Amino acid sequence: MSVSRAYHEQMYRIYHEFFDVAETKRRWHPFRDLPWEKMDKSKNTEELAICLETFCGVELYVPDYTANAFNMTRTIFGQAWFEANWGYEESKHGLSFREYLVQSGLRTPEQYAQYEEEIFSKVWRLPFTTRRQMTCYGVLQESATYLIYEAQKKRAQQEENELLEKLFFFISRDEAAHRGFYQKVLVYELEEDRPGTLADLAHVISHFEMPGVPLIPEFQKRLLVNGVGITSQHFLQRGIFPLLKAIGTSRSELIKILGQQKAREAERKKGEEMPPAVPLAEAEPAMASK
Amino acid sequence: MTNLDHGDLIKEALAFTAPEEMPQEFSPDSTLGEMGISSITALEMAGYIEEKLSIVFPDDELSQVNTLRDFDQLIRRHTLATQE
Repeated sequence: MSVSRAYHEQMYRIYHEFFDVAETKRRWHPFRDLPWEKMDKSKNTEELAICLETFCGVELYVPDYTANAFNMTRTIFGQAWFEANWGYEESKHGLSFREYLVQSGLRTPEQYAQYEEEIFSKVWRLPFTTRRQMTCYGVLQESATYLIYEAQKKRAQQEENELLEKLFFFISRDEAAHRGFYQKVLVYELEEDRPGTLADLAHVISHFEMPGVPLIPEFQKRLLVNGVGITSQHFLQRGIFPLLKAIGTSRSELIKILGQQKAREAERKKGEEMPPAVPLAEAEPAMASK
Repeated sequence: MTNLDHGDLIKEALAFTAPEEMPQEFSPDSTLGEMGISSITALEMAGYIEEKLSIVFPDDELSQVNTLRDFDQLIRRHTLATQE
């Protein structure tokens, strides 16, 4: 679907700001800016291995995420160029997790290779069909990922794991920046078409799940490990509610829209269950008998 | 619903917002997730109850609700506050 000149310009402005901050304040080198010499293998636990392996698995779908994102945004400079940056930054996350898992001995190179093979045997597919819905998904997904990594950073700090603390500092900061980009796009979408954007947001929130759910081996079992995910309460409190406030809507507005969507869906289903319309030729005698 | 002051209202809210998520048994201390009630349904239930009782739950208190008992206590706190 084509978009207006104003839309292109606004996306460019949002990307320009994102890129400027990324280049001047946020660039980091996974091999040089992390204190790898402070790797402390005595802090290795299977719980930590499962956390890092799960995060790494989710990040390994970068080829699928970016391929889909490029197809969806390729004619809009600001959005497509953001996706290129996004893919680059996320690729560093996967690289860093991989390095940590193997260098720490939490996983042998063979174990890692087998895991990677399992990950690549599945393909991530777009969970929603339109660009605007994917923007809603992006802001939620980045927000959840930020909260998960932020919790990991605090945990590493408590456990005096300086290397992991630094790693999660860089990574959570990137995720916060990604969330910020999607949020700005969403604010603009609201200015352009408030009812339509809110309807998309309500739809995405009610159908949201993290990308790893259908892809990562034994994901539900992994979620039982402390730190792999966050509680829905935490996500509501630190993710959803602040987002609604920041974009100028509220829980009650969203709930009303969800109610309307459900009512429409019920109507649609009811219509499908109705017997098919009687062809005119058959209907006429009945009408005549009245 | 046993031991909950507003058990029937909570049940009514769930029946209205997401009948497909209605559990066979209501356990006041099980988490909403354990009973198959999604967090978005919990928000819709809260909206239904707010409208019914003409009260408003603050977002930060609502986000702490983890079980039906938590829900019940939240309603009790806010209905009492309205009566005072």
